[in-house]
Amino acid sequence: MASKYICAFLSLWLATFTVFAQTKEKTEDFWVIGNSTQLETISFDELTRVFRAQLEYWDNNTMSEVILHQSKSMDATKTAQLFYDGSIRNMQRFWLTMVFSGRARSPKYLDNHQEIVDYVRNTPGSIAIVYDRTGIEDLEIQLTYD
Amino acid sequence: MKLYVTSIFKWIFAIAFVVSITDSVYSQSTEIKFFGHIDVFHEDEVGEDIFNSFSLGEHDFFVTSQITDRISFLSENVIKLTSSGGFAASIERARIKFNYAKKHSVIFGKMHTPVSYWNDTFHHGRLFFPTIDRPIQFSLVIPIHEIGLRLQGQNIGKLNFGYDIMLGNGISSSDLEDNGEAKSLTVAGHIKPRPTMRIGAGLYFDTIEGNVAGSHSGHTSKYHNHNSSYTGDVGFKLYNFSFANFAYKWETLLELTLNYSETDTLGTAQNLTSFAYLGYRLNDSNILYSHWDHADIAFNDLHANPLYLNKVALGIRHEFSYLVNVKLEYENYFYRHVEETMHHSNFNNKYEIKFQIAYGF
Repeated sequence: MASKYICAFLSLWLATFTVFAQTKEKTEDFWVIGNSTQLETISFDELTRVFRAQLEYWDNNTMSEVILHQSKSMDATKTAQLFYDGSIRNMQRFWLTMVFSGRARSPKYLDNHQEIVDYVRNTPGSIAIVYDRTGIEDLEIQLTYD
Repeated sequence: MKLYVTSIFKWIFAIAFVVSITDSVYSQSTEIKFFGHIDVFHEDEVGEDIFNSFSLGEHDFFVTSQITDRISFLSENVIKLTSSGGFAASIERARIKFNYAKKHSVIFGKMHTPVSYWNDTFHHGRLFFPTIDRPIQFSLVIPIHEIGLRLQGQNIGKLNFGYDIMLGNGISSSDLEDNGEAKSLTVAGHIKPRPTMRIGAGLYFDTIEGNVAGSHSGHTSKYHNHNSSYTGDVGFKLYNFSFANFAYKWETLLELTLNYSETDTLGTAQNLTSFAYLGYRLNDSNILYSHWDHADIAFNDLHANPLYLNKVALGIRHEFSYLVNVKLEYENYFYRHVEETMHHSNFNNKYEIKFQIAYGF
């Protein structure tokens, strides 16, 4: 009796997921910058893992820190489109939920491109996405789509 | 299952030593956050007077600190309503985490038992709840808190496998001490095949010594109706399966929990509880949702008392921002009365309309 009951509901809910599976929208050009991540290149899938709080330490044991644009920045919308279904609110909620459950550290929210570049340059383990190449030559990590 | 611990402290010191030699200088960072909620509800129960009320909910002080690059601290201190109508402060979580390898940590302290998705994710923050209330299984069978030692792994491999293995004081203990030698064991694993999805399973074993409902479970709530007339030990086993997919448009959560409680007088009781939630985001601010909550506690259970309940609800959640939301919910409770039990007379079918504002900053 119990097994039938469990199987019926598993089937129903897994079917729900399958039917309503979602697709991701892509966004415009962006560049990845980081400090002491020991990375010269990063794939988009790996970048997604970083920005979905699935990486706490880099291979060189440096603690990772995700840098995000403040919600009022236009660039925050672009980052949200990449990793958080296009919603800044969703991005903020996701990180707060992860921190509250004790499974991730808070990201750092900064106001503009220059602040992000300066912070990354001075913070080992930090990683960010920027939408302007100004001043990032020594920090850039090449993005691949393998 | 009884677990007798003879060398826990040796392990703790060994792990602390390993952490200390791999640690490095780090500038400490501490964050303090605050969460709370206020409710309004209307209740109409068959055979009872209509009941309307405003209600002040739990208020939650949440602190995290990255003490070094390998050691972090997390605490959750809640001021909540007591059964006598007043408020009491409670340390709901206080845990220190040592990361000894990139994806592997050991956690020591008081925490929410990582046996199910809801208990591992939402804790006391109503801001994060997809619904107004927790699933009913939290008032019946879920061992909400544990004090003990936990091994945790996260985001391992392509499927983002994670594990939690925890040795704790168990259901019958208090925050101060355990009432016996037996320890509880939690073993849980999950995968995250997609960024928004988590599929997990958890096992929990404990011996509830003297059938005492301590401070770490919801086992003293009105639904649990703890049976204090039986004072023998209770063998307690719990198996959970959870499926969660909180994507942007569709939110789904399924929690299935099978519990066996074994006594020397009435044998093994099989209890089944389940919770199914489905939400659809209408736009960036509004989510329409429904959930179904079910509990079937067997007539021969001597820890909880028998119960057969179905609860269905329809609600809408409006998010003003990621830090403030309101929920409006209509809930219908259907009890089945079982002649063999005397405790069902406490409950009658009813409906409730609830409103909640939840906030954090």
